[in-house]
Amino acid sequence: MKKNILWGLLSLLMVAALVLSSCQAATTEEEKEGTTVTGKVTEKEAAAVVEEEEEKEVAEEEEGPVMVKDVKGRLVEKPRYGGTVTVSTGTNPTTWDPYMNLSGGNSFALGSIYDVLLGGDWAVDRSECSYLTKNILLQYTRGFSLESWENPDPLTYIINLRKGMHFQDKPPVNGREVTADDVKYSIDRMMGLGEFAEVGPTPYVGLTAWGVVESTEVVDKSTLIIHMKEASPMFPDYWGTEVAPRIHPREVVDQYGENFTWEQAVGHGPWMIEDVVIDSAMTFEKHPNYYGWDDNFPENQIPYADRFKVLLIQDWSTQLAALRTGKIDLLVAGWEDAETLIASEPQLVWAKTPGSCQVCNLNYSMEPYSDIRVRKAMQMAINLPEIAETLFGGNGDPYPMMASQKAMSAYYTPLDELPEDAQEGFRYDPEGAKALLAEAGYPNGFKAEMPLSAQSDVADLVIAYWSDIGIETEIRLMEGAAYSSFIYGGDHEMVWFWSCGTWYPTEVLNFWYGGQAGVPWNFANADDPVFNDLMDRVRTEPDMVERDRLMKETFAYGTSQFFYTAVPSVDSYRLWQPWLKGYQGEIRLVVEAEGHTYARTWVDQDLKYEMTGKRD
Amino acid sequence: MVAYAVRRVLLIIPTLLLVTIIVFLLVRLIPGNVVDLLLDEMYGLTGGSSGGAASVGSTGITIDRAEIERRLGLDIPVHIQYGRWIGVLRTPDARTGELAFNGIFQGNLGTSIRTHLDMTEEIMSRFPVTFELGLLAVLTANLIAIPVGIYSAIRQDTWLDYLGRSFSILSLATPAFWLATILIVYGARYLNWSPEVEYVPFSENPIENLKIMIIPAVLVGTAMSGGVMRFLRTITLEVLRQDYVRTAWAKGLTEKVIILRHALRNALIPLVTIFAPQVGLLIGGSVIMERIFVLPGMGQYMLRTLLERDYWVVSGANLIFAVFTMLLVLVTDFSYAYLDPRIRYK
Amino acid sequence: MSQATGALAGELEETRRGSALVNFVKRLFREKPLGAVGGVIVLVMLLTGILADVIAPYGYKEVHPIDRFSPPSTQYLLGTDSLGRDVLSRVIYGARISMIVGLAATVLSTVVSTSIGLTSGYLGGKFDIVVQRFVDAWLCFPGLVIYLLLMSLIGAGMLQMILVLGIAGGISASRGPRSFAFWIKESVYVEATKAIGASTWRILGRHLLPNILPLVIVGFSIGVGGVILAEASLSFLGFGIPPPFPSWGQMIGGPARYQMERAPWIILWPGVALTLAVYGVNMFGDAVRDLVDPRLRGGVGGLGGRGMEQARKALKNRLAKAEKDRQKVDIG
Repeated sequence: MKKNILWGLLSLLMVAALVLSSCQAATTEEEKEGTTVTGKVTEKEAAAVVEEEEEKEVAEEEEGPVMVKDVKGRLVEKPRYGGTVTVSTGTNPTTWDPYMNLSGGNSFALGSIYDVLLGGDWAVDRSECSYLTKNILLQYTRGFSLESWENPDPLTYIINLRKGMHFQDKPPVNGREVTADDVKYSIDRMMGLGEFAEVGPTPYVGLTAWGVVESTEVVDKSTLIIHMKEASPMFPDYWGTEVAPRIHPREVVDQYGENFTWEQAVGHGPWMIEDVVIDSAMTFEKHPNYYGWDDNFPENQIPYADRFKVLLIQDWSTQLAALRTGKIDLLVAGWEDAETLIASEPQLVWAKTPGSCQVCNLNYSMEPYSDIRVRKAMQMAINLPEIAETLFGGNGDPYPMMASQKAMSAYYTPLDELPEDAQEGFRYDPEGAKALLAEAGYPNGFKAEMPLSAQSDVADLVIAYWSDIGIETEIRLMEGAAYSSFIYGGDHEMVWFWSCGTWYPTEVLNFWYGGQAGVPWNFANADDPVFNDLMDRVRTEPDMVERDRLMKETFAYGTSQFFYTAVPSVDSYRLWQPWLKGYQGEIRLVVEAEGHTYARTWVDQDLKYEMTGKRD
Repeated sequence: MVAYAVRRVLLIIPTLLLVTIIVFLLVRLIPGNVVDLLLDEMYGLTGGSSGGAASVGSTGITIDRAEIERRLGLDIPVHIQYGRWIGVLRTPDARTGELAFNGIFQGNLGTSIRTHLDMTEEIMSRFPVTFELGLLAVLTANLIAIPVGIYSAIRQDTWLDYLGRSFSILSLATPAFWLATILIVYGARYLNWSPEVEYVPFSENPIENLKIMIIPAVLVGTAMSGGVMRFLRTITLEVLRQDYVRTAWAKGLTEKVIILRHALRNALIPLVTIFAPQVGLLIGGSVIMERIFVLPGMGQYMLRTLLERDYWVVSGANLIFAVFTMLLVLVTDFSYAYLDPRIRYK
Repeated sequence: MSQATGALAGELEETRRGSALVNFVKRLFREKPLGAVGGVIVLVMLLTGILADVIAPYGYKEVHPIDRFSPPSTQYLLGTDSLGRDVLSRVIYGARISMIVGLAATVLSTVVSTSIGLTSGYLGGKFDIVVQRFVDAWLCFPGLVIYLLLMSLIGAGMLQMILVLGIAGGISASRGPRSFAFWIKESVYVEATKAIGASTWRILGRHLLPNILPLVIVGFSIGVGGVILAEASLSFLGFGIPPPFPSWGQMIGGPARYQMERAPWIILWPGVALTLAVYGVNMFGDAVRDLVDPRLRGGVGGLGGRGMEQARKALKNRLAKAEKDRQKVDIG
């Protein structure tokens, strides 16, 4: 009898589950269908709308979107307030305390809620400074939290802070005014100066460029003096566009200790944290009392959008799909995915960003790579134009020459201007390579090992080329942490990493050539006296013109020494939905601070509703 | 039976202890130090993504590796680290330096090296996600497997049997992520559909939540149904060959009665025994689905923290997983014991 | 009635004559068509793997960057991938990898699981308790964590994959043979064997092992499928066999996933191959179990398929025939 009841209950449960699941499935089907139909139909309408808009732009009529002249007299669509900007990322925020910014991936977190001294000028003509690379020259910046600065002597900088800036209205700071004290506090805390002299600098953040600061001094509420240990002509570059301490209030640290949570974090940047779910999303709302303004329309306070969302999507296919369906507004993609997207989603707006090149750093302290003939042969074996044409679809530079032609043209030396024996190395010549190897003592090639942390087509191709000249390479696939430990251990034969392209030139030079032994990223274990000397001169040269010339010379020298094996650079794309307006693909306005860029973009909510049927 | 139960439960303790020791040691023994990883990310060299914020000035302060290790509590010997983590040795407080017990025995699972936050809350929010996915998947699997499996056994070698079993095994054979990729790529391209990218917890909005969960759950469930179907089919076939079924048949009972009253009941009971392992498999196993469908669950969490060498989190999360698995194993063992009188009366 | 049963038994006898293997194959094709299909698939896969060098039109790491992403054509029957490698050739070589990894890992896992399970289950007592604590501890780790840990220690590669999947799988699966050992330990004839003084080894080797063999064989064929799928999942997460070895899992789990729109053939064909292989292996295993498992004989199962329907029909026919014969006798 009991068994019967049990049996009956079980079957009832099963039936119930079946019914429930089918009900859910039915509603889901309907809803999905609804969106589908709307989506498809309105996409066509949207395309028509965009076309109309373009025509109107040309005709300069007042119907449709409102066109106005910006501060430089350019005719643009009038920005509107409201809406949400949604982007995606692949890494979680790890901390909200600038002091603890251990990993580099906090550009969305820290970069959105905190402000810095100086940053890029949004009104600059994009043909002059596109912001599509990471290096922003000082002349294109304007004061953010600082209003102006003076450099009376090489060891002193006087910073005049902007007045009337307020922190976000959150306890314990409660929206009070930002003063020079706060800036001093932030710098001292990060660099272990003043009251933090005993504690020492943060071990977490790579602010080594600020190590030249001796002390900071507050003159009055809005004036700060920075005393230098030694002259560093490039120092202002480090105030906002390279590396910089972020201005944060002492009350938060005093009350909550270091590494406070997102609920406790307070800054005076354009965004305030609304909600953070690890592995899911970060949501920011606009800071209503942010001092910042749109350089194109100086009377407009920013941010324009009400909300800024950063979604964490690990899987690339899902990100692509999310862009297509309008769930995210923007995506950074490689050229292949970009071309496919552009072809199939004509409404997307896009910008091509000049790419970085991958280089393979060979370990010179190891045989056979210590011999320049071997290094040269390994470069000769690679068919650079073929890679550029096929693997990169012509989107890039076959001869990056350490300094990307597009991103760092001032330091780029074209192939035909290099010395002849250097030029030889960059011409595809497998026979010549084999001969060179034989000359160096390896007529039958040799075995090599290449550590990798992920599968890479480029690596596969390079290995195939090397195999043609007798170098048999085995891939050692390791997962992230093991890989990191391995490459910093010094036992590697070669290491791939990104070079040139979009970084600041001295960063580039420093990165692949640490110069002195002991610097952790000196993967090549290089110690070339000529190069060392050049680098020292670059670092200390006060005259910017001479410095640029020296850098160009350094790049050229490094290239002809075959310090690494180069592969063509490849451009990438930034694609975004048409309702994200005012955006032209800018990568970086402020150091590691994406939020500042998006604070200046605005969302055309009507257009978004037309195209997707959704409102924020 | 009671003696058996008590003994069985007590035996969990040494197992768990073993687990904590193994996981604690293993994570440190494998190549890949957390500080190296963090430094690498900071330099941003090998990732090629947003790049690091490091630049070398002329008189630079180089990154103090030893200081980072000290602050993370990694500069002390491993067995002391273990003792502190378990809660038998005292830990100095980060700010004040006071010594206090602060480990597992005190209810503190540990803090993340990366976020420096207590991981208990993170686990509490992730566990339901994976559990829900697992439950829905198991439900789907059984809904498909039970009718197919039983029918295949009763009507062995009919066309429907072949069809049903083929479908079930095909769904097992097809890698779920392969199907999911095809679905997502073509869905986005031609149907303007893509998975929801913002997770909504069940407690917040059950309808939205189920909408998000249903596709991954169905994908995983159909893949699982193959195994369950096979199990059920075998059991039912065995039951049908039992003497008492033959007797019933010989007695002249109709097929329907035989199946419903005798065969089915006895076939379904052992199903319970594999119910537990099914759920267990899913608790740690849905990493791929969680990743593709943007579900903040335990599988993804454990994988990520392991890759990030977040030692305390890995140890703590594995402990939770171990406790859960042990419970499931207990349930399974008890059900076997219940079914098999020989063990029961030992 | 007894006459009918006798006649049925006679039919059974017929099928048992002749060599076991030939009979088995005959029964497979006659009674288990799905299993036969599976068996054919498995055979094709094995042959493809063995004869890969002969069959494949190109080498598996032969790159033709100019022809990258070519759709299927007469030159490249299944198209090319992102480096211009021929997909067909890579699928063919992939069969070899899957076959090697699948077989080796499953053999290893079977050896591990049976040795641990049988000894632990049979010897019982303290030995069992201690061993089981280790096995339980092992079960407490999610599979992925174990794979990751082991792979971090010993690197990624085909041999490592085999070791990892084999040993890990073996330990997890040891509970099956263990419960079998429990069951058979209590059986009367083993007790009898013990009574006459047979040594433990003899019992294990002579009695336990042969009896568990059918289950092992079945578990084996299904295990191969599991290994192939596990390798695919690991490749998806980036921990599979490193390039340029063309494992199917790596082909569908790697960057090709988002090249789907440009070139769906890159992940389509390996995926199909993988699915078919796992399907075949599973169906074959099921059929083998149906035909070979002692627990599935007896009753109405021994007639092979069609269960009660066939039995009833056969019985009706026999009864009718018996009637006719009787009538003949009566008349005659």
